Amino acid sequence: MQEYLLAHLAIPFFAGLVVLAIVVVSGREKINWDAANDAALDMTILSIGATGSLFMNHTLQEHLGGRISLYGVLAVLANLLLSCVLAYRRRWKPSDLRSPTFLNMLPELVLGGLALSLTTGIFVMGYMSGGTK
Amino acid sequence: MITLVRFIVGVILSTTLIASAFAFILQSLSKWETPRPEALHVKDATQPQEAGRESAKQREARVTALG
Repeated sequence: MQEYLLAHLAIPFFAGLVVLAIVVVSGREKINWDAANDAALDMTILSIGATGSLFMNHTLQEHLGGRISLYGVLAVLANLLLSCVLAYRRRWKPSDLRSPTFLNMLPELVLGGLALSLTTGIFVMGYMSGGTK
Repeated sequence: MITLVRFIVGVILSTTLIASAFAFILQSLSKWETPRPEALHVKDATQPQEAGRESAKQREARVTALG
């Protein structure tokens, strides 16, 4: 299970982190709140992408049986909803409140982290649930 | 019921961990000042042309004066 999570979530996550760092250090302007929103949106996209590959796992398919597609669709819908909230906040956040402080960026990253944790959580709980077809 | 509670607690804990770590990294990165091209003595393409070289406007004026 660890290898599966590492391959499908952790490595893309760290790759995204490295790309974000490259964008930040090579940019002409200092980063602000938008970088956090971008990172969170990337996390939701990563989570949606990883859902398909994670739910192809045979052990998970055996444990969840026919309910696997239901959980998969629920995970994708929840992630899409989170990305909608992030896009809404990006559109309507006042420009004078876009400072890159820890507390200002935290809500965005909580939404992004929630997307990742939700998909990972469903996978882990399904994998460890022992199997009830 | 226990499974659901474990799921919720796990999601909340991992979300908090990821968000805090990421916010801390971004906050640290935001304090970095990226050197401007002028500071690195790199000529910016958007800068006006240096003295001594003929600009397009000057060239046009010279060609017009020559008839």
